[in-house]
Amino acid sequence: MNHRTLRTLASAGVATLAIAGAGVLAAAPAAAGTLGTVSWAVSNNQVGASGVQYTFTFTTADTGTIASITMTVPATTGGTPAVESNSGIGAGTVDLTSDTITYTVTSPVSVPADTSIQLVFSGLTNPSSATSSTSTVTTLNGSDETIDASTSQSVTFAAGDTTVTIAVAQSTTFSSDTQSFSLLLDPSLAGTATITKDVGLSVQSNAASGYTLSVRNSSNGLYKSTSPTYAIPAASAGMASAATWPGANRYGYSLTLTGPTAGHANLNGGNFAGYTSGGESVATASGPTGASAHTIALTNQIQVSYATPAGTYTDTLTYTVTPSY
Amino acid sequence: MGCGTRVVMAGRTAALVTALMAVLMAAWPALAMPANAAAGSVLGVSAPADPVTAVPGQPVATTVRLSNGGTEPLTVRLAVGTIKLGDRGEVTIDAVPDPVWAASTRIAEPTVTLAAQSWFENRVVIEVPAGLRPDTYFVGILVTPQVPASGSVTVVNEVGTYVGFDVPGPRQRSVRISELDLPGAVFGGTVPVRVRLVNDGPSFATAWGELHVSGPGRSRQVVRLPGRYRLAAGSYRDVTVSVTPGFGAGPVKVRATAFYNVSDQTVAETTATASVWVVSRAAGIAAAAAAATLLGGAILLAARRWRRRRRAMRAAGPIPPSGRPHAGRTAGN
Repeated sequence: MNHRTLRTLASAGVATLAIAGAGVLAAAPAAAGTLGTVSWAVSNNQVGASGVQYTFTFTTADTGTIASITMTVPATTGGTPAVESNSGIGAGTVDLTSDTITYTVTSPVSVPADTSIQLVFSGLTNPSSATSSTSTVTTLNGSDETIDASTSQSVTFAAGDTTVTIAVAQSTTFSSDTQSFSLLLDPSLAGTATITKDVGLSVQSNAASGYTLSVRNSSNGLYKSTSPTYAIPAASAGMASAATWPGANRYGYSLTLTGPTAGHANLNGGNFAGYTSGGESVATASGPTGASAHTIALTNQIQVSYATPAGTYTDTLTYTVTPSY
Repeated sequence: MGCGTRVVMAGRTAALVTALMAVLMAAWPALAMPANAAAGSVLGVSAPADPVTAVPGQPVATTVRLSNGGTEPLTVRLAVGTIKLGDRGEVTIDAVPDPVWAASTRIAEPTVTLAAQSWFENRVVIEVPAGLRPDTYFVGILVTPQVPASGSVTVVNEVGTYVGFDVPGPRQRSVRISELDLPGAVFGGTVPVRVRLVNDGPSFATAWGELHVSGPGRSRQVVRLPGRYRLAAGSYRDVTVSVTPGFGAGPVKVRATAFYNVSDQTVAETTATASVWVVSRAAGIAAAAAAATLLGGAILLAARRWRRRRRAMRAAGPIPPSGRPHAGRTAGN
């Protein structure tokens, strides 16, 4: 064995040792890290209050497979906690035993370092006596070994505090600038054979998911009840077949919206639809209106011809606003 | 001239027709406008935002507040309608009495006359059947102004409202993500993501969720879906959010996770994954600059080669009529 071969073997040995050493280091349990910015908030800090919501927020320091998270609370904390929401960590189950809330992850997966986790639990009962307490939050792996841990700021439970609970109703105000109208039409005069009548509607609602506006008319439509009975045909069979104004001896409506209300696509561009007695949704909003009302102008249009029998026609238009759930 | 005479005649006719129309309109102004229009109404209806807790076999009481923001008295009628909780949170309440709840719901004052600028709190009591299974229930109420029939066409501004109550206890909930919609490719870095949450269980459910966005490269972020989403059984709701992956270009993987309570203590999750090719604006500019540099270099190289070849051709002398200079040289060899 010459000198060069010996040197090569020595280098290989050193490399092998280095790799093995690295493997040993990787296999050894890492020292527990410190969770970043642990925050604990309570929805009500009155001593003994029930139905309280506790929110824990923190950031992982190390990558690890989190199987459970424990959060210490004062000794006399009670109630049956329910999971209100979770973020940054998978689905799981909550339990309160003694002075520790435990969130057990159903299917643990690796959670990278610097992941922001938030757990919100409701249904808790505050400790029975005044105290100021911190919460120690610990992330644990499947072998109940600590991955990261840290302590929150202090939360004070006091007897003399005033609890304020405000319930804001889901409220909707719907106004119409018209309660009824009459029109005089004459087929002999071009200027009065077609008449439009705008009905201005406005909606204000604080419903979180917005509202729906639907329209319907009476089952007979625009109807003459005296002999010979007659109903002026609708501009279309409904929203699905809304189109440009179809011509004489028709009755229908178009829609102009102001505000973030979405109208039915078929009514875009001044198209006209006929009312239906079953009712159809013509506009929706996906969120609350805020302080500024949404305004909706419905333009009712009637065009008569000599095919339209003379007489008095009546109809009832019902516009219904319903807040979304 | 004949032509001019025709113009004058046409002008006279037009003037005559205009005058006649003016007389007609003046004599019968109602022709061009609504003959009669009654003033409108301003109706406000409020109900508790959250369901109240009910006990099977016992009545549950709640209130519906009515307000008249108009300048005239307003009479309204309240009736239980048939409620349908649809997709996207939309609610429809038909005027047909609800076959389930109409008989067991008592409205203290079914007809109320509200003075101008006044309000009234109407008590609503629902008899909850003894065997009702745990779930969240809604009773729809239509509040309909009683409009005097003074015109040919009557306009009614009706408000639909609903009161909810929850029967506590274990229930079967199931939510899934039926669609995770991403564009095929995005230039500029902001990716619109649409998640469709479907309640495919038999009970009312509330869901929340987040997006795990990874790539390009090793970038990774968690984006929470804004809010908690109430889903009636069989309905869906779309949630749209925009995410901005990190710098670079390449495939971005989006994993959507929705959570929901299978019981108060236990949360279940459902996931869906999709990918999109993203070129961030900076990466796009860098790539465009690199491409422009390469193109410029290629053009310069080609121009230099062309000049070199031209010099060689000049040095080789005039091109013989039979062909290219090197062909001549080959022939000479």
